[in-house]
Amino acid sequence: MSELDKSEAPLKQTTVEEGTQFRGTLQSNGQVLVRGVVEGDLSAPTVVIAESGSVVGNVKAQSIRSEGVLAGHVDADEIVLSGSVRSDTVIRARTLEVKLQSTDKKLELTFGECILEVGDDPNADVSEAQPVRTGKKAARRGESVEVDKPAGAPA
Amino acid sequence: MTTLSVAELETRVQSGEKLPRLPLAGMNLSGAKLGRGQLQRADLDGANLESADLQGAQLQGASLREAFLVGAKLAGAVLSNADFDGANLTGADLSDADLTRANLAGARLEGAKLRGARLRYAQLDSCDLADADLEGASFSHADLTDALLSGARAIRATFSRAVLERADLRDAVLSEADFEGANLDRAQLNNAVCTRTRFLEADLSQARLDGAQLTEADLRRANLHGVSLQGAQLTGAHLFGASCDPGGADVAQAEWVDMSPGADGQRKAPLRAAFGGSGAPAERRFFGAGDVLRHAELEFHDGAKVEIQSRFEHCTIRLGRDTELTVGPQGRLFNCTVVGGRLRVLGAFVEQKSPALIDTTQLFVSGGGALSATLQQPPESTSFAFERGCRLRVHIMPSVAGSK
Repeated sequence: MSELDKSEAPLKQTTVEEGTQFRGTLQSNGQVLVRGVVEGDLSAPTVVIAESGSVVGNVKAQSIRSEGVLAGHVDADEIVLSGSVRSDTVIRARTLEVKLQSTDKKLELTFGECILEVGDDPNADVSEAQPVRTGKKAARRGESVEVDKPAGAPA
Repeated sequence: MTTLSVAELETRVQSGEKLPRLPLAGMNLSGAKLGRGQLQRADLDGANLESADLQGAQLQGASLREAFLVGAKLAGAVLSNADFDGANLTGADLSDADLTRANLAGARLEGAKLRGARLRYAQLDSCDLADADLEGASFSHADLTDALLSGARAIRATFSRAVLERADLRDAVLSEADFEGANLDRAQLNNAVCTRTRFLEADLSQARLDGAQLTEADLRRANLHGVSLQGAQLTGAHLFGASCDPGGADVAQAEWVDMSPGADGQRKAPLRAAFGGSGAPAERRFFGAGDVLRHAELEFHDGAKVEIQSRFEHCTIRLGRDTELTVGPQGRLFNCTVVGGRLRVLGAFVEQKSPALIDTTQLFVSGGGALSATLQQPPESTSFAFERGCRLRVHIMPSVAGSK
C-alpha cells in the first residue's frame, strides 16, 4: 500500500472497553483506546486513555493522550496529560503538555512519585556562557566588537 | 564579471538552462527578464536590477550585497540564504518569496510587498520596512533588532520568537499578527493597531504603546514592566499572568479585560485588576537581566509578585503561600532552593541538589522554559501545567506528610 493509501485508510482502533481488564502484552499498529484497565506492556502508534481508563506497565507509543490513570515506564514522542500519574512512574518524551488548571480549581493532573524526562536536557544550560556580540552586526550599532582570534595569536 | 550580454543572459534563462554561480557582479540588468531563472549562488553584488523580472527565480544562496533592486519583481522567488546586505529593494515585489535565513541586514525595503513571504530565521536588523505590505508573512525567529516597520501593514503576520528589540512599529497595522515569545524590549508601537494581536509570553518591557489599539489582544504572561500605555485601548485584552507595573491602569483605557487562563473571556475584570488588584497593587520585586546574585537568602511575604530576569546561583528563596515567583525568559537559576509559593518558569531553573522545590503549590513551565529539579509536593499536592516545547528533568516526590 502506498503512503497516500495508508493516510487515506480508515482509522484502525483497538478499544479496551470500560469494565474490561486486560493483562499481558498488547501490540498494535493502529490507535489503542483504553476505557478499561490494561496491565502489562502496551505498544502502539497512538494510545488514548479515557477518563475511566487505566494503563499500568510499560507503554511505548508515538503519541499518548491520557485523561485517566497512567503508571509504569512511559516512552513516547508526544504526551498530553491530565488525570493522574501514579507513583513509581517514569515518563520519557520529546514533548509533554499539561493544560493549565481549570477555573473551577479542580486539579487537571495529580502526580505520585515520578520522574519526567522531556526534551533536551536542561542541565546543558549550566555551562551556558554569557553571550558576547561579535562581528559586523554589533559594529553597525556602534557597539564594541570582540573579534575571535586564532589560537596562539597575540592578545 | 561575465562577458555575457543582457540579451544572451535572458535567452539562456528563458531556455531553462541552469546557470549556477554566474558572476554578474556590478552588471546593469535593469528591466531584464529573468523570471524562473535558475541562478543559484549567482554573484550579483552591486548589480543594477531595477524593475527586473525575477519572478519565481531560483536564487538560493545568491549574493546581492548593495544590489539595486528598486521595483524589482521577485514574487515567488526562492531566495533562501541569499545575502542582501545593504541592498535597495524599495517598492520591490517579494510576495510569497522564500527568504528563509536570508541576510537583509541594513537593506532598504520601504513600501515593498512581502505578502505571504517566508522570512524564518532571516537577518533583518536595522532594515527599513516602513510602509511595507507584510500581510501573512512569516518572520518566526528572525532578527529585526532596530528595524524600521513604521506604517507597515502586517495583518496576520507571524513574528513568533523573533527579536524586535528597539524596533520601530509606530502606526503599523498588526491586527491578528502573532508575536508569541517575541522580544519587543524597548520597541516603539505608538498608535499601532494591535486588534486581536497575540503577544503571548512576549517581552514588551519598556516598550512604548501610547495610543495603541490593543482591543482583544492576547497579552497573557507577557512582560509589561516599564511599558508606556498612555491612551492605549485595552478593552477585552487577555492579561492572565502578565507582569504589569501598577501605573499602567491609570493611563490606559478599557471597559474590561479578561483574566481567564484560557483567554476564553470567562473572567472579566476591571483593568486595575490586571495591574495589581483593585487599588491595592501586589508587592513587586524585579531582578533585571545582566545581574548575578550568589549565595543569597531571600524571603518574600504573602501576596508578593517576584520576577527574575537575572542569574541566581546557590540562593535560597522563601515564598509566602500566595506569592508568585516568575523566572522570566532571560532568568537563569542554578542550584537554588525555592520554598513554598507558586513558580512559573519561562527561562531556566537547574539544580543539582535535592529537593530544590519544596511545598510548591503551583508549577508552570512555558514552552521556552527548562526545569531540572526535584520537587517535593505540599500535603494538598502541586498543581502542574507544562506547555509543549518545555524541557524537563523533574523528580516529583509526594509531600513529607503523605510519604509517611
